[in-house]
Amino acid sequence: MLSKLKRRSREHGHAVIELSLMAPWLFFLMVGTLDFGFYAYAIIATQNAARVAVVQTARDSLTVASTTLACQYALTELSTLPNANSLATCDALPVIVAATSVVDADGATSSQVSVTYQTINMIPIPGLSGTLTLTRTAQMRLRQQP
Amino acid sequence: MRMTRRDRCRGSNILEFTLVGIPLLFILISTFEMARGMWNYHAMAYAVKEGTRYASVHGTNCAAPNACTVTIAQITQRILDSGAGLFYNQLTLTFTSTGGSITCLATACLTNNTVWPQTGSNAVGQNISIRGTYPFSSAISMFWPGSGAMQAATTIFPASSRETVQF
Amino acid sequence: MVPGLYAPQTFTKQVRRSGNYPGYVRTDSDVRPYGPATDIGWMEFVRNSAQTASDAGAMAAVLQFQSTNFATTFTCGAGGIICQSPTSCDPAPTSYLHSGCDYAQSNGFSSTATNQSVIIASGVGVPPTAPGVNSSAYWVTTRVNQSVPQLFSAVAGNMNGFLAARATAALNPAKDCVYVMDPTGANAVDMSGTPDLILSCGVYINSNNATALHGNGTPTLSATEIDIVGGYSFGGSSDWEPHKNHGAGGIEGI
Repeated sequence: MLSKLKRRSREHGHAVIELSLMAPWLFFLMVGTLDFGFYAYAIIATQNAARVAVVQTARDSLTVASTTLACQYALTELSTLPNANSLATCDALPVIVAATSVVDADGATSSQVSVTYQTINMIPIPGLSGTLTLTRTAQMRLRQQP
Repeated sequence: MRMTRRDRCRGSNILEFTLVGIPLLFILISTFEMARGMWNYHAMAYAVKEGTRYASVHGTNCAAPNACTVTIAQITQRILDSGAGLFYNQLTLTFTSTGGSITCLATACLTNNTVWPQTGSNAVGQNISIRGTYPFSSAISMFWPGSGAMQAATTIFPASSRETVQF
Repeated sequence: MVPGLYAPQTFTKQVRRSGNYPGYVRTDSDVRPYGPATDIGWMEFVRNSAQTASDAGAMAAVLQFQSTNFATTFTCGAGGIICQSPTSCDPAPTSYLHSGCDYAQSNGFSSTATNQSVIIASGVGVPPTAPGVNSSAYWVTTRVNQSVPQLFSAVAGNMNGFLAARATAALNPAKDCVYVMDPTGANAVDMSGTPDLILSCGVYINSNNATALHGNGTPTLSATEIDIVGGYSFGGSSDWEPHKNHGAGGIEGI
């Protein structure tokens, strides 16, 4: 009888122990969801920025490598991101945009725009760094060849 | 009468439940709310950008002899179809072209049969943009990065896109 | 170039691109809250990428067609004009349609990948994928599909999400009769003062300059359409009818 009482008393408090063991993982799950939501928003915006910019630069030979034009349109797509809403240039992080002229397999000129965006410093968890650098590239053939 | 060990252990379960249950409940609710908020956040980004692209390929060349001009209502429907989980009566949209801006709640936008982009603002190469805002109400909004001092437990999720008319 | 003597291959590169609705709504998002937050977010990004690829593919195929085909009338099977039902890019076509496949691939999507497919269809006349476009001479539709493995949503039984993007590019016959051929000049068409240019057809300004069409004072330019490769600038109270299509594709003189 006494040993049974001793065993029961050793089992008291196990719920708190279990919670203390599980709590970090539950917290990481919540923080990971927050982080991934921001990253998803950022990568959707970055991809669309590349697409919108290349549609502009793929007009003719004057615009094919116009980083200024690409930057103008890319920044608008990224304007609702926390660290990109007041930027005016795209030559340094958090936003870097580059437009280049590329010759395709048919010998036609195309425009390639690369947009790089670095997120704000989120809460780091195991498997995810606090800052993510995203690069998306889009390529389109010039609508008017030189 | 001496209190036995058994007597001293009575009520420990309810005490443990209290100690464990409250933070656990907080974590679980926070996780659900966080997931819901993030879902709305990136859905806003995608939906607004999809709507802007849709409008950009229904410009001046959709007029006669073609017949593919679109209205505010149709563009709004496209945005809502792309934004899974966004409530119609909370999403506010602003349509901006060289001819001006139109702002409406999505429920009102769905009944707006104004052709957009308007004639005169829908030529190939002209800029159009759509901006959306969506309020997210949750007790955990106070933890939103960059939100600053919060008076009310509501965070506004913004999204915008600008393109030039392509067709 | 004398209008009327030159078989006009001067088709304006009017592009109509349409998108398709994504297929990711099949994921079970009302049971697992992490599914929407993660899986749908990822799929929205991938679909945006797929839309970029299909836009680039459709445009490239039509542009390659225009640069290699000089017919004045478009008939399926004649003069190298290809009309095909949706056909995969694997194997890669040997015709001008390979450009569509190439540009989809340069934007990250290829039929040779195990979870992706790029499909191209083409035809003459009205494109079935662009309702309301009645004046097309030739069209190309590019479809890009991808199967995306699910993470949290897989717990609810949805192992894969499927997304698709589609774009259609079409050629429209030019309706112009006045062609201004200067490729780069500013004020290629300059109307100052009170001149009137009234046309029952269109005017095409080939200059890619930002002020290819310039007006000042109270000139009147009335045409069925005004196609400008570059841009325009107006001062005074210029009366331009109809509204300008700038950004049109350029043409080469002979």
